[in-house]
Amino acid sequence: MKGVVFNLLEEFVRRAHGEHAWEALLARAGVDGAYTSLGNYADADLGALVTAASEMLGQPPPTIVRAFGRAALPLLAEKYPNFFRPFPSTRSFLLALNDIIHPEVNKLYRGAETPTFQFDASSPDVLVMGCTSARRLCQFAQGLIEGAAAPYREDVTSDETLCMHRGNARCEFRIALRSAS
Amino acid sequence: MSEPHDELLALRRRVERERKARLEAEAIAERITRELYAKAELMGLLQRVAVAANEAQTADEALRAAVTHLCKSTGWPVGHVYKPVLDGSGVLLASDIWYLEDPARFEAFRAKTMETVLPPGIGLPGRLAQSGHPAWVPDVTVDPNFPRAEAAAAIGIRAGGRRVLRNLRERAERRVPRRDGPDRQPVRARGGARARRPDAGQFEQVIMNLIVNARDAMPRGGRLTIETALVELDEQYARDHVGVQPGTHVMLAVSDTGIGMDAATRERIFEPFFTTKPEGPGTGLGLATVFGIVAQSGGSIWVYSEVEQGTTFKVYLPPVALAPGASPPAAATAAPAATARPRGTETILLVEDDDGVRFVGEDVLKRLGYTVLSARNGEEALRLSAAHDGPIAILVSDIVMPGMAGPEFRAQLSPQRPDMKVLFLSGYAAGTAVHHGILGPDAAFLEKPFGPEALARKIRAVIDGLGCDARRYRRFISQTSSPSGRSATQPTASSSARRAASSASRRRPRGGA
Repeated sequence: MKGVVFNLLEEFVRRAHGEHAWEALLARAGVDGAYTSLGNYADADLGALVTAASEMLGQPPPTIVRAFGRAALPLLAEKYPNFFRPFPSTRSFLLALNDIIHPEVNKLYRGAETPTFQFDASSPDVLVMGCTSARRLCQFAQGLIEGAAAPYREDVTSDETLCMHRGNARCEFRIALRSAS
Repeated sequence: MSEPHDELLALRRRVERERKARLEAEAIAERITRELYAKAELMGLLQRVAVAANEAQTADEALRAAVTHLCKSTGWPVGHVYKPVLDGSGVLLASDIWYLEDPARFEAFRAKTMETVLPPGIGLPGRLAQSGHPAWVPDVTVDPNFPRAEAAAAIGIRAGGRRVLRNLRERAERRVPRRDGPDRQPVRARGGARARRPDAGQFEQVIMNLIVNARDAMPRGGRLTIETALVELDEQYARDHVGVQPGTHVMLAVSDTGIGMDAATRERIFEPFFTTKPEGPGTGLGLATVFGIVAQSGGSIWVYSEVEQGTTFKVYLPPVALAPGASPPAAATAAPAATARPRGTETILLVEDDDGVRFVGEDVLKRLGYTVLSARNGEEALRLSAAHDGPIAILVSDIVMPGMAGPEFRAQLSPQRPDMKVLFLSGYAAGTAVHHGILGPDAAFLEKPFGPEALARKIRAVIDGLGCDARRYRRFISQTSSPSGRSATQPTASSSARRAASSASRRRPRGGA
């Protein structure tokens, strides 16, 4: 797992729960917490942190992961505004993930295992987005999709109609977007 | 004594400060990583284009490969090459060189383009041709100066840019041998030696890049000379160049009479992306590529340059084997390491502006028993000569120096010391020195880089009356004059190699590279 993911998690926890929450989370998870954005760290560290957060907040891990994804995208938009600037809407941003965003991510994080997305954009109202991820972090992906709408001031609803955790070959989200009221 | 509260505040400030420093360091590292990635991508693209161009048989074939690689690298779905009408008007005509990711989808745009003639300044290609600088239009469908906007909009093309192709075209066309001037000489390896890993495409790229570099160094014109020779690299040279083994090497020298380089520029010329050229012509990768190819081939490269005088690049490659019947250079057969250096007791006037060369030369010659009068320039040499009552057996002098050049003060010294022999030192290849008129008819010559062994032997030979090189080189140039009267400047470093070359030149017809 790339260090930038841990950095985003740290930022999310600090902003949402205060300065000491991150230290408490690290202590409970039993990880050392020295993460730099360009480094590579064990996936198990993220698992331990999610488990610890789940225990501390009394919420199931999928909920924690989805909330993290939702918060992480705006943080990424703060850190890398150029990734978002060329796209006028959440939909256009999502459609560019495979061809533009992930190649950009790979420039920074060589060897990053980015998920692959498949799209059905035939409907102007609903974007169907398939997701194949080696780590099967579909809740994180769903959170990121929802979080992507925030920089564009759009409201989003997403339903996961297929899921690798339920035995499907891929996860699939039906995404409806509209301008925030 | 501070209160615990103050200590906590200080600690917190320190943590925040260190966190901020970490974030800034990460941002710097990310920026550099991104830049490196972009440069690596560009280098990869240029390498693919260069290889494709080298393998192409025609300029159009090279351009087609170039535009294909460029589009695939950038993800552009459409690429096209325009060619200028050769009447000086600057009008561009659409060529049939295209890259179309989806030919059916882009057919209408292609057809519209083929019927469009673009005067200078009109359309994206016209803008590039007029300004000479890269151009990028974020949305061609609304750009008032894009005549094919309607056709582009119909197929969903929005952004457009032109950047590399003009240079690529020039490069591709420069590859094609031209024999329309006295300064372009055909290149042909002499002496029966073949370099290790003789990848023809890569070596052609080395030659092409050096030629392009030489051409760009002579904006007001000049003389480009290409020479090949078998030479001996001694232990000293091998020690100073990582990976180089002493012994016989194939030398390729490319010399120009251009603007030259100062020491600071020479230090950096092989760095990737270092260029002294204005925006546009140079990528800064040409010499870096040369260096890389030569190093991969187990060779080395040596540069000699004088500001406003010119530059010589010498590429040394170890030979795989001597061709049947070819003779190795004389120096290579003399087993120099096992033989004592010839000594002497005569007086030598050593003139060299390069402190390193002068100090080493002086030290070596003194150890061999000579008396050395050492001078940094011509004026100092004249004073030393005037103050020295005894004979001076030989003047050993650099050719190009600040102030008075070697041949100039030699001419002033000769009337007072008519018996004094002369040995010139220079980074120019021998043939270049003769061809440029630097050497007089009775001059002996030692090419830099040289080691103590070569210097000792050459000085002894000249003092003993065996070392005049200029006549031999001049004769060799005369022997290899082409039927058109132009001379093919391809001297070699040793008499045996010269014989082989001369013999080869008689066996084979003259031709271009």
